[in-house]
Amino acid sequence: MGTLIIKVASKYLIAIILLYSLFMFFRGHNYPGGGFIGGLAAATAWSMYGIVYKASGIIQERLEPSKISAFGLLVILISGVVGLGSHTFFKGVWFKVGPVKLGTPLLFDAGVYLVVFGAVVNIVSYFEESFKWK
Amino acid sequence: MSVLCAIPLFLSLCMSVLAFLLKGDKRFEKIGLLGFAGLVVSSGALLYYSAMNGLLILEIGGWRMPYGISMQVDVFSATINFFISILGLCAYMFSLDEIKEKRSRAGYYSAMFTLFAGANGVLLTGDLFNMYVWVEVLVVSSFLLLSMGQNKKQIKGALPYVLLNFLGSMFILSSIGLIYGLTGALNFAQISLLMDGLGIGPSATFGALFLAGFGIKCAIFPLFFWLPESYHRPPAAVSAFFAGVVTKVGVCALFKVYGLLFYKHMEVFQGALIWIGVFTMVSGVIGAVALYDVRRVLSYHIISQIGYMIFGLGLFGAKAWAASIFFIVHNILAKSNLFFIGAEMNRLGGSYNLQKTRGLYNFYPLISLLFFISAFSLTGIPPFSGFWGKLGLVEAGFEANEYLASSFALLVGLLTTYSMVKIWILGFWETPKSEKCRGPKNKYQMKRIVPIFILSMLSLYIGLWPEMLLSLSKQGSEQLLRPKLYQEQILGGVR
Repeated sequence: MGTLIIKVASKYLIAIILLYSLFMFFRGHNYPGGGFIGGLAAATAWSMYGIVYKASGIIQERLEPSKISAFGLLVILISGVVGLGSHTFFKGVWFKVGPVKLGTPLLFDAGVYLVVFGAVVNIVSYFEESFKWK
Repeated sequence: MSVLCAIPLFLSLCMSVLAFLLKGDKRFEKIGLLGFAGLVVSSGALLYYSAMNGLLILEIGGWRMPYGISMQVDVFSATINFFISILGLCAYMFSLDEIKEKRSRAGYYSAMFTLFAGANGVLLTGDLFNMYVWVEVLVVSSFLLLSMGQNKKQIKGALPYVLLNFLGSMFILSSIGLIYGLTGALNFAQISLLMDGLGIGPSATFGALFLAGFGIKCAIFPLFFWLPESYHRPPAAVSAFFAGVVTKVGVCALFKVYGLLFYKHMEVFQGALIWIGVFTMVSGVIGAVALYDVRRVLSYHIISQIGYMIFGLGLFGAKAWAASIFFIVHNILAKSNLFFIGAEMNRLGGSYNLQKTRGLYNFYPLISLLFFISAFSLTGIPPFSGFWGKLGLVEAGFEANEYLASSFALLVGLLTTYSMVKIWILGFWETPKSEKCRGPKNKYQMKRIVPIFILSMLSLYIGLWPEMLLSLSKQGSEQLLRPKLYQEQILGGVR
């Protein structure tokens, strides 16, 4: 898969897909989208990079995808603890930062994003290794 | 205090993440021990408060009851939850010595904590779909623990387990889907209320689907064959954990579902449940009588003990259910402990096979004494814990005029005694012949003998002073069998 066309095209595609994944992630509060879909899209970009430039091994070593997932789960759990002030887990707490409202649901979604991203990248890189995609 | 409802669940999830981030690290050993100790303490506190207050409710995220997910902890769930966390602590201690670095690098402790989170979730949740999700968490992490060694035998044992469990999950999920389609509710109390208005048909259908689904998971009569194939292959800590947690959680879910949702038409299931129970006990114990491998004998005994629980479930009455709850707790302690002792027999005597390991009593009196306590608890000899559970079950059986089924229960007790006596005589009691007398080769290990000791003493304690557990199980069964009160307590503010 190392042809010139794909190499050049993927540079632009990866940027667009990553932006799209962020768009989906932030859109998710009121519309279809959210952490799961955003994470999937980001994982697509990441695995495309790995396949086209045969760099999955490097990604694996630098940033263990399974640890990203574990970290995402930790973020989810933290977002659950924040609500303990009102005597229950996962209570939504909102802060106002300038014109933007940030809250624990967003943090929760970020956790989901990381879990899905890590898991999918992990699975895809295993496939790449065992099938030796070219 | 209602925040306590989610603390065990939350703690085990946190520990699972931590275990994953620190996998293969020696430093985690102490943190994990602390985590399990925290689980025991928080589950104990939960048990205390639920026994005092009756029912603890926590609305997750602050969403009002029938709409959001809630945790609803009754005395029954809290009791079982407390005892499985004690077992978890012991299994963790045991695996610190037994589990080699390769396995812990593969994420063994993380899977163990996730499995625990699943068990906590199934027991403590008050939402039917949420319960299914936790069942899946439990089952997926148990696949991981079963197949972790990656040798061919283990995979071969795990495969039927995986396939059948997916089938079981499908039954459960389709039943939940049907219930949701018919009533539009997922909260236990609300479904219970709405099912009251429906006829016998829906109850019978959903009850049968749940029985098939959870029946596969807890190995009842026609669906048990995967269990002896898979349970004896992984390390003993995993087998013990499975014997005490995975199958028992399936049984507990059945009690909760039948008690709260289908109680009105219980007579549809009673006959079937009682005879499924009897067939399960008999077929399990026959396997155990025929075999000489300690681990396989114990695996078959799991099936036979599940039979007693299903038998109790089918008898359906405050007395029978109280006895069943007592029996489940006794089984969590005694049965798992026997798996640990079996592993010790292998380590100290050289083999799991009774034809090779003989006469351990001559060199290892302590482990023999501990085996004696657990094994004769399991058989139900009077001063030990199994006696009270079996006595209650058989009594309730006679009161319900199920003479034939109850006599089978007694007969199976006799055969259980036979197979335990077989292990006792061959493995421990016999004097080794002079030429084979090798003397003690191995020493006791603190990390292995302490959990065995704790579990044996607990089992002995509830045998000698059963009042506390008897009153807890009585309270739990009465609570389960009074769904009207349950509905009012939970939905009182809403309706």
